[in-house]
Amino acid sequence: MKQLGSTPSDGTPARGTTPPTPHPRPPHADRASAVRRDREPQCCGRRTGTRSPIGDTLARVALVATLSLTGASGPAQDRNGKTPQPPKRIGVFFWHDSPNDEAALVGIRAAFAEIGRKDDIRVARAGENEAAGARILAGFQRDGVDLVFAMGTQAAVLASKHVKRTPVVFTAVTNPIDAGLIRSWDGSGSNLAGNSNWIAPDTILQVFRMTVPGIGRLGMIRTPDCIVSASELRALRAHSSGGTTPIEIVEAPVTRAEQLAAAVDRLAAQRVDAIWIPIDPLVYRNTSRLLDAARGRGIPLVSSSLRGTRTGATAGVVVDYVLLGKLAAAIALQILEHGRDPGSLPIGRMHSYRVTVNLEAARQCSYEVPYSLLLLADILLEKIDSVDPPSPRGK
Amino acid sequence: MESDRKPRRRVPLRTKLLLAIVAVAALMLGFLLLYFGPATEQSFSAASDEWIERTSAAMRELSRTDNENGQRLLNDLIRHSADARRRALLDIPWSLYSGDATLVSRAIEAQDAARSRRLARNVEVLGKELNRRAELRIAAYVETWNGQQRTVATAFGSRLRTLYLGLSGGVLLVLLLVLALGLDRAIVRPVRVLRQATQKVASGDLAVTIDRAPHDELGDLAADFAEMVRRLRASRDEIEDKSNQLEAWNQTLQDQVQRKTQHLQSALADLRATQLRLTHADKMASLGTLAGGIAHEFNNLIGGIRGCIAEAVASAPDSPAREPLEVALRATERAGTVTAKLLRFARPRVQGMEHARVRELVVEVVDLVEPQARRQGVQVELQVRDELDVRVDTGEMHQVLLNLFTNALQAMPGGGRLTITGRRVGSEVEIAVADTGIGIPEAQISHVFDPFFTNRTEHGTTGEGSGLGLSVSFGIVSAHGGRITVDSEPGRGSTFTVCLPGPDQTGGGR
Repeated sequence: MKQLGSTPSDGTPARGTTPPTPHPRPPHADRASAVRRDREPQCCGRRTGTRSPIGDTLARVALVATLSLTGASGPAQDRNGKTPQPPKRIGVFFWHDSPNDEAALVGIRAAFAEIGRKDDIRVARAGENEAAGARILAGFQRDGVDLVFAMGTQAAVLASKHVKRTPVVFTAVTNPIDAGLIRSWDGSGSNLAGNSNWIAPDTILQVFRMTVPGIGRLGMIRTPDCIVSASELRALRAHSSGGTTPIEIVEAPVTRAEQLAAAVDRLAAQRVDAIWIPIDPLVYRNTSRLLDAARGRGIPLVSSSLRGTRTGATAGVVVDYVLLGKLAAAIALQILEHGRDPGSLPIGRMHSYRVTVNLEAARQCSYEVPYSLLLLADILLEKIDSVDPPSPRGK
Repeated sequence: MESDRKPRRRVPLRTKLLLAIVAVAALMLGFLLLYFGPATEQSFSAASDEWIERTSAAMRELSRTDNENGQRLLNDLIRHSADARRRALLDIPWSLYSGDATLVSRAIEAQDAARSRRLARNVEVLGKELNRRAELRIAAYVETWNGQQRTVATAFGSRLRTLYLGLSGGVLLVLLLVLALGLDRAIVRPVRVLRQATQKVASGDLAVTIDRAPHDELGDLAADFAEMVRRLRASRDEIEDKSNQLEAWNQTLQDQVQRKTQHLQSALADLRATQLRLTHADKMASLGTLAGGIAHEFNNLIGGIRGCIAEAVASAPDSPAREPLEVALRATERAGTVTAKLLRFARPRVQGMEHARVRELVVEVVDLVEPQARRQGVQVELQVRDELDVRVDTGEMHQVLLNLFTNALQAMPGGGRLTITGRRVGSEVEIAVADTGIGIPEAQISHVFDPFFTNRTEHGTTGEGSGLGLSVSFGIVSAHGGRITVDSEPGRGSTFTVCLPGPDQTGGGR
């Protein structure tokens, strides 16, 4: 099945089209400014005349505290048992086994547990079979579920196709617009709502620059018909000319896994400073081959997925999928408890991201990760995982 | 005052060499201690100071760089942490908690706790990584410092080596020169003198002396050599004396041997001649006995026959048989002559021995044959001293000489020279009759004195006589106690030699 606009197996975002900013100040701009603050102080000027994110957050916390202290009525009282609502039937639909999707489900469960909900959560997996997925979704509707969580891009696409009335909350969808789920980040206007694991290209490039200071040439290996990696390439190229040092992206197309080593050789011959593992199934599923080919060359592999970093990339940047799941649960709660129209809810995007560094991968590439990246890394991995970590499969 | 000089103390060569080595070692050690010690210390101290200065500078630079990096990284970390926390707060699902402060607080605390756990884990991993990198950096620095230290040590060692080698070489050269001169004086020169003396001795010159020998083993060797030469000289003199004596003995022995040899050769010749004479005499004696017997019997018969014939002639002087009887009578007379000669051969007698001048005897006989010699063209030469005399039966001796002269003339029918030589040889008188005639073949020489032997040659020349002349002469000479010999060479002549006892020895005839 062609993975048009689908979320890859690890659930990392497909960034084919840069999403519009859902907020007055787009999250990726915040992230980029957070990362580049020491190098691009002019970014701070964007926030002139607006409230800072920290101030906004503190204001929210203060508001919540005030409401709690004054005993004002609200949803909290309902969840505290004052006006308990009956449990809902919730269907969770997986297209395939994905650690990131599973992590998102963990977040959903955790969020519901935090607020004391005891909903009937039914998990179903299509096993990458579209007919099975259709049957699962039809079963959900026949059973009268109150809401469907679509885990990942392909699951969301199928849900949007087969579920027309029941609210569908998707999560771990990299680019819902490119996937054809929505037309605007402000809302679907249909029964769809949800959030994205999208990370701004500037943030990705900034992490690459931190990985290889002074990077001038970035190699990229991809299959020509992969639209996700194509959109990634377009997005990064659109932003690679910015910053203090422009980055030239050298493309090395492959069609078979056996060509990966030769592609690494070609890129090394063109003196690239790093090789990017995009969200391209043929590539990220064979990270070990790339690592073998790059071994001892002093050229690090960089990735925009956690899986790529775990299996051989020296550095990567990812989102917290558990947190992403919690945010999706919050959207669902708006629909289930507050009766919000799914089509009116803005598509959520994360502000935070995780910088991941794999030390063993760096050593195998004979590359020394800069101290700055080591200190700023959110996740430091000592070893390379030969396979994906076990999925925290929900029930 | 030769007697007042103290004898030089003998120092063994081994002791000399040992002292020389100890002196060289002491000088080298002293030089090293006095010069190289402070020099080495100063040089090593300078090198160490240089290395410590370099290392200290590198460590200061390392510390400064680490501090700067640490400060910068800490600033980055603070900024990043604040930004990360800000973004994390933004991502808290506020709406989920519907303003519940407890839930919000709990969510924030959970988020902070998760972040703290993650950071703690990161710190652990980071600590390991920093330790690993620190070890690598330290190893790299140590390697660099080791390299610098090796460079400094190499340069130091090179300088020190050059200094050591140069100075040691100079000192060693001087010491070796001194040692070489000492060895030349102590060993080489005495050995050379000894070798020259040995060569002289080898060439036979034993009159060598070795002066100024050292008082060590070589001096002992020179003394031993001198003693050996002295003994060689004494032995050689003794050998020369013995040799001379032996040579004299040898010469005497050779003379004695030569004399004995000559004597033996003479005795052998005499023995052979005697043996020959005895053999010949024995043969002649046998022939004489035989011939004498026959001649006696025939003489008796012939005497009877001649008496009868003479009586018949006398009794019939006119008889026709008278003429045959006279012929027969003359034949018996000739037969009587023959038998008489045979009797003279068989029973030679010398009577009336008397002193006679040999020359006179010879001249008397030569006068008899001179007419015949003149006719034959034979030149007669006499080489006989007048005073040479002999005691003989002159009548018999006339017969002997006549026979010899006649034989000689018969051997020279075509002329020649007849030489008669007379001389005294020892106690004997030797009369040699030599002709230049046809000679006698060697095979016939032993038979010339046999009765009735006539010399027949291939030219047909024969003896003209009865063949009794030489036999009769042999008998006469033998009767005188002498001997007659013949030497002949065919074609060149013959020499008959008659040796007679001197007049003082002649006792009488047979």
